[in-house]
Amino acid sequence: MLSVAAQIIEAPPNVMERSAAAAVALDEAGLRNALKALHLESYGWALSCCRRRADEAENVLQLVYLKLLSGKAVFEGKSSFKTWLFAVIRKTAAHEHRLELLRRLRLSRIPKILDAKPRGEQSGVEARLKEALEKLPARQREVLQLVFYHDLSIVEAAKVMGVGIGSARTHYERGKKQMRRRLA
Amino acid sequence: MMNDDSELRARFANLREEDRSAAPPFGRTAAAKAASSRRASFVRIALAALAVLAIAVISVLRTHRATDTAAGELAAWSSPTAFLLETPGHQFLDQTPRLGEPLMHALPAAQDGPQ
Repeated sequence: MLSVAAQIIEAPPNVMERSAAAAVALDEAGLRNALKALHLESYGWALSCCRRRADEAENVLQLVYLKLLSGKAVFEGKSSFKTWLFAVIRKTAAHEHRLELLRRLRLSRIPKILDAKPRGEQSGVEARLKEALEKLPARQREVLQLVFYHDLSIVEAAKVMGVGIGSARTHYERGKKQMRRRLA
Repeated sequence: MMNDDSELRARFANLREEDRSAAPPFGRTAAAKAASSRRASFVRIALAALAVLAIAVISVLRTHRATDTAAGELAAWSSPTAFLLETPGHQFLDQTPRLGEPLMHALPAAQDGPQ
């Protein structure tokens, strides 16, 4: 028998809409379990949102967990838990990125921003994939990551990205074309 | 097309495995910010209290100063028609007459006129 957290993670959006009240009533232990179950996926998505900078990704994930566990962000059951969580991660990462830029601008370290390279191993098995992804426009990178890495549908990816389905589909097709060309 | 998708999917799957091996444990991620958040919220509350206190002190000082100024202004105010109240010979009414002293003494020199 599945736990409440597992049911919430696994439930498709239409089921989630029907059982929205049950999902919202998730207590802290249930929420913690749901987050734990999605932790690795969340970390992967945070990495992608932070241009594969591991320390920034971890920081963003910590902020997101704090937001959720302290009740600042509440799941209302309008989409699947995973889609909602990914949208929160994406927004938090964007917010943190803006703050970081402002912080650095105030300290007049603009050249360092321009020179900033993602930390971490670039000589790994998928270095070429990472390099190709980095060169993609943000929307294309996001949609490809969500579909191929996190196994979301384009509809779900559109929800996470906060764009229309048509727009997400266009980014998806263009992104795939670019990747094919770069990885050839 | 299908082939491309499956190739991309395989590459992303490898990347996912690589990321998973480097992911921090859930416990560390979930617990790390809680402590700093408590500290940050304490600092935030202290700053807010300090700001409220500063505002209160400033407003009290301002009110006090404004009351003083208003009282001073009121005391210094005189009506534009106040000169009409200065009737000729008002000096006689302002002073108590003394025995042995002529009342004319109270008059200013200008009013003494030619002797």
